[in-house]
Amino acid sequence: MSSIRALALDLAARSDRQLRTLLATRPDLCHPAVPDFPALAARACTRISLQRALENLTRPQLDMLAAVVLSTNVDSGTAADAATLQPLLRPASGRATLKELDGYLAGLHALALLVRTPPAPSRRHRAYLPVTNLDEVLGPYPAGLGRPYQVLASSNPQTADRLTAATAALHRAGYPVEPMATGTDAAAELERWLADPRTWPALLSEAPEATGALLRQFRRSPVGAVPHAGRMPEPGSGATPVDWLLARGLLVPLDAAHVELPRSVGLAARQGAVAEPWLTAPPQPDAPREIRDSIRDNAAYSAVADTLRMVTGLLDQVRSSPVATLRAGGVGVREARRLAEALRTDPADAGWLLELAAAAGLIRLDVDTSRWVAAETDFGALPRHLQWQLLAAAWLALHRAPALLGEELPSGSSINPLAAEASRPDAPAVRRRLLECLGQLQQSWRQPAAARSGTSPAISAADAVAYLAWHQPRLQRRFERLVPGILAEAARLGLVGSGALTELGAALAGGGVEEAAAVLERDLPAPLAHFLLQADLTAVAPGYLEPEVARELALLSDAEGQGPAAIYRFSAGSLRRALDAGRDGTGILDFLTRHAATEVPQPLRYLVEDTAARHGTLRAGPAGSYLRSDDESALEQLLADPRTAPLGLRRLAPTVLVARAGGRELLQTLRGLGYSPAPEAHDGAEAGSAAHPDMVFSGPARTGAALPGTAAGREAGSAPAGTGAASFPVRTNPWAPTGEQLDQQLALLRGSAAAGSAAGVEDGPLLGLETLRTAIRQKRPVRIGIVEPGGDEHREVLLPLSVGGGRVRVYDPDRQTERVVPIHRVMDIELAEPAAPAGAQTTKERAADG
Amino acid sequence: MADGPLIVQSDKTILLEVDHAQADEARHAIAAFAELERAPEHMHSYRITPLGLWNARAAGLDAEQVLDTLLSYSRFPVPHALLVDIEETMSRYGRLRLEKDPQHGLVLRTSDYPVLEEVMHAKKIKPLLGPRIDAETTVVHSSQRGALKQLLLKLGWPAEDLAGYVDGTPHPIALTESPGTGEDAVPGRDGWRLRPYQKMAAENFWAGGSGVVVLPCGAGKTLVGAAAMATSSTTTLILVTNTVSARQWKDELLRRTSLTEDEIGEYSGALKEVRPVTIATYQVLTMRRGGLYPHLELLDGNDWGLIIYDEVHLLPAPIFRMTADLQARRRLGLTATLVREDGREGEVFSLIGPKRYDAPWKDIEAQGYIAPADCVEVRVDLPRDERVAYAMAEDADKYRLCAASETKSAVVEQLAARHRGEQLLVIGQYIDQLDELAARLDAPVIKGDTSVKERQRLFGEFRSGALQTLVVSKVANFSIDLPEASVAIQVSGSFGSRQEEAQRLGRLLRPKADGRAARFYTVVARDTLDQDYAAKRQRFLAEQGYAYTILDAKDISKA
Repeated sequence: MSSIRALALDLAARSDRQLRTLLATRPDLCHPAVPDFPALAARACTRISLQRALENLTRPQLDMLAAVVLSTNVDSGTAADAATLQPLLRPASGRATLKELDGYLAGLHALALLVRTPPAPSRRHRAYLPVTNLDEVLGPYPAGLGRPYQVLASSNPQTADRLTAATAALHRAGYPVEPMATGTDAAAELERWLADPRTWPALLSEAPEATGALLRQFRRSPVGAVPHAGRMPEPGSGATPVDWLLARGLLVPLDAAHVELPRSVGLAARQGAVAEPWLTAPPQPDAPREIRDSIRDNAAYSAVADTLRMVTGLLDQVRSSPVATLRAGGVGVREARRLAEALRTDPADAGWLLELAAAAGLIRLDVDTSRWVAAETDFGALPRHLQWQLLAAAWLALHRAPALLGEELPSGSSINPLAAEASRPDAPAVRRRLLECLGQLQQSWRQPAAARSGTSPAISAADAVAYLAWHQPRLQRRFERLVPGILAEAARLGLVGSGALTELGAALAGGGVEEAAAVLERDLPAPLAHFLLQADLTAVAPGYLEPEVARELALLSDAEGQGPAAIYRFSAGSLRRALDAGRDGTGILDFLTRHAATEVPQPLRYLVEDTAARHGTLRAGPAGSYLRSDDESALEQLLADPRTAPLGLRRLAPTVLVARAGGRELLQTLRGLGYSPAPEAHDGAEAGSAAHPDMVFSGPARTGAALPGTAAGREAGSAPAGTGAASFPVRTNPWAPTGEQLDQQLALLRGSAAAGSAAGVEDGPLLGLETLRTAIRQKRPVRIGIVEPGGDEHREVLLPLSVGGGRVRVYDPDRQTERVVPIHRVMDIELAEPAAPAGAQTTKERAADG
Repeated sequence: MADGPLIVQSDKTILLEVDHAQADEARHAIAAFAELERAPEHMHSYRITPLGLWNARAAGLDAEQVLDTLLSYSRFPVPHALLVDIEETMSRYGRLRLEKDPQHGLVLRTSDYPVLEEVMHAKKIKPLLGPRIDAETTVVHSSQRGALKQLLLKLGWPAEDLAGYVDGTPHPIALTESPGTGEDAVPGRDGWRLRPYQKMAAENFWAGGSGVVVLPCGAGKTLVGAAAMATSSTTTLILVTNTVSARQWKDELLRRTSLTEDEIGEYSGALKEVRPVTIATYQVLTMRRGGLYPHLELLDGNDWGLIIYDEVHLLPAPIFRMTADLQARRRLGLTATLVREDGREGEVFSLIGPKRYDAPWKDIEAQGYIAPADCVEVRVDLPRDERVAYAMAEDADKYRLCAASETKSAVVEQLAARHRGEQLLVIGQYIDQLDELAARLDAPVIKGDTSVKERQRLFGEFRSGALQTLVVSKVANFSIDLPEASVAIQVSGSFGSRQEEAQRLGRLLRPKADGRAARFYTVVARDTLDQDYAAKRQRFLAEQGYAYTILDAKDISKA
């Protein structure tokens, strides 16, 4: 009977309760719902479902399963029962009882991994067969045993030759082995020879000394790397254990560098047992290091305070200067180093903080600029336990392994913070498992006496991995890779202190982030609203400051040092920063007096007053152009003229006005209004009549646009040194603009000036970028003026797709291709007519699809 | 953990809240392993360094005690990484020991075999070692005792020196303490007694063998030296910074011990006497002639039983090299601070010895033995033309222009008028400026070209009170023992190095009889280099615990 059908019958015969248990432990069986038992059985035998089921088996269960697979034969119907399995599964001491074995078998049967054979009168115990595919899912080396000689012989002709040669050599050396001609026969002969219970002890007694140790190395995997594996030493000359085994066909070469220990040899080396020892209980470390609870809590709470402080610092930093990403994704080394420097820590730490902040949604990737920017959150204002709760919850659910940052990739580069390479979808599950494991270990290892004396066991990464690997041996590698990092991260969040699980960690392991946060709320000191001011111009906050106070203090001074107490140093520079931000001397002193636990020291008071009194002696501000006249009334008249409003005129001094508009626009507008302003050159001299007055402004801009890279290619209006008509770089230009071109240029400039009325010189590029972004968002085509490398300029209608890093990616509907245009080649940008022709509509859609 | 006086930072500093009820206890506890870095009025900061931790180990403290101290006095959780680091660092001291073996002489012994292996494989250490005796012991060439200790410290495995000392030539020395006649010294009077902390320092030193005693300026380090000499009662070599200091030592020893004039020799540029107690200057010992140090044999040509190094933090590098060869003699270092501006703290530790006693400055101040001066910075506005001149001046001339501004003179006059009747010193760098000030104040000037005789006459008059105002140049204040004053006004120049500045202030300015603190004025031109320097001075002085005030020149009368 097919195994699936047998399983179907078996399942059909189970009680509802049993089925419910089965489906609860293997939920993939009913998701989506199955129509009938045969379907359920079929699904239970799929490789993927079996794999999932096996992942949740413990070490003894898996050993048991391997033993069943090894000792049964589905084709011939040879089933296994407790009695046949007893010699295969040998606990560390004594023998496994039949009852115990039956219990394990029943457990595996309940999981639908084994099928019960019909009861036979000759058996006292129930016999079982593995379900279909189980042997495949267990892999070629169940329980770390090699393949049988037969399989090896048929795997490749060289191995088969080796086996026949081995029988011949053994025969010559006087062992009771007949030389065989074919690989299959040789394999059978070797099996027969090794099956004799006297063979192995006799062999071992003549083996070189280190053979036992060598064989033990094959426990976990039967395949080993050996130089010159293909050599064929004579049985007599076996000097080294490897040679000795190779000469007798007990180790079989697979290729020039690898050997395999055949199954029967492996079994013989384990005294016939599949699992030796068969570990029915999780491993216990000999003497877990006991950590005083005070030390543990100290470590945990200092870590929590540290992490929260650093995250807050990171957010401030990101807010003031967003973090650039690499084109390949992730944050580059240089950027991480910059952050680390600002946070007074090392780049590895900065990487972890970035990951944590990103996980908690405190920073987000701005897709327009490809930079990480601070998200609008109220994180800074939250009480600290809630900040922690946010971070801890985010960390638990994080599908990444930040501990892998900095590891080298096969390509030679290393994993960068926030790069895709650190993504590990199984990380949340491993974290959960680890926390549970820590909780269980804490419970089981904690001696009653220790609990009374206020100590807890420290759990090392190796211990945790061993424990987890006993529970889920199939995930061992994953645990080995992730657990050390996760433990380190847990320590940063205070879940583990000095290696021991803390109250926070226990609460979180129990599944309650809120409970954990409540524990933290109880234990964290309340924030302070005061600090100490000292005559060396420092403020020391003896603890965690209220966020608002801290923010104000950070504005007034520069933070230094690293630790629970923040030290701020006042200087004229830092105070000027605060004054620039709109504070005034009295306000600053009020703030200091209000929040200082001590008097404001005289030198500090002096510094504040002195700096405030002298702040603003020089004042700077933006302007597009200026207008001056010795005739004050003329200026007054201009100011009063409502038609000059678009120019944004403002009076700075009786004889000086500034305009928001650029110089050219100012001139043109004023001329349009009937005034006759004379343009002034850079050094204040009146631009002579030799050149067209407009050239003062337009000349350099024109050449700059035409010849990117020349010194003149800066903003319009700032003529290079040595102005005057004769020295205009226009004259040196290899091609002279024709009058027509000039006219077009002027018309263009006029047109744009009229359109964007108050667009100053500085705003031009920004407006262009904004137009571009708008177009990208609205998927509208733009008309872009582009300068070719040769200096030619042309304009075309293109559909922009994205902008960033100094480039625009555009779709060219005419050529139906995508292109990348460097921003510095873009002269101007305007939205194409909103009423796009039908053709454009389709190209837009095509582009969107592409 | 709830409310201790300490805050332990992750950058290895400890903040101590001075006004906390437990502050004194905590201060004593941490002084054993951390160095005081800054002492402004409310929060003192200490730094934990490997040397400090090893000093603590040498004093018999173990990591457990240090961690306990931190944990029990700390207000907040102590950064765990720091605790681990402390434990690790402290466990490194004493794994290697220098011992005297009856058979093999000087040996390096370890209880931790791999450590010995590690250091024996260090390239620089190999030549210093003799044959290996067993897995845990190796012979050391006895001449290399100092060099080996230095190198081991650099490797991070400081050796504990248990090899003992030579006795030296005995020579009876006794302190002339006369108990019962008052608590402390009034110089020149008969009755005096060692202050308790001085006694403790000397005892700690003697018990430890060799090492450094840290006492603030004015706390009577000389007496600690005298007490150590009395305990040793052997011939003694005293190394001091300069001749002035040598004379002070001599006077003090004559006054406080049974030694007579004939027993004390001075070994300096002027005199070359070698007597049972010899006081030599660093300068003469480090003098080089033709690539040789002609006076070096003073150190090892005599069988000294004790060598005292005054002002260890100023010890010049050649002396270190020489000291490396003197490891079999007892060495006492005296200093106000273990922080050296050249960063050679490690050599002090390995060659002279670990810190044996450290009296927190605040304690001694609280006991009334020393008093810090009041510092006042007076800012003057430069007149318009001087500002323009300053703005246009070359960098090299800028300081002179602003520091020697004439506007300062008026301010000095005002200040002098305010303190009429008190002993007042005016200190400056530029001779023209000093001459002008002297004329205005009608006071004599002491500068480079003033004869020694004239100087001594003026100082004598100043001390006796016959002369109340004295103008001195920088040259003068370097070379001569300045008399004490209650008011000092500095118009230009810096007062020695940063470190010296505070020390000189402490020595120069004694509290007035009525207990008011002495005053130290600096007159500073606003918005100039002068002010930048003043900012640094302010930070340093404030960190040293001096009261600091800033005034505008026009507010002097109000202050």
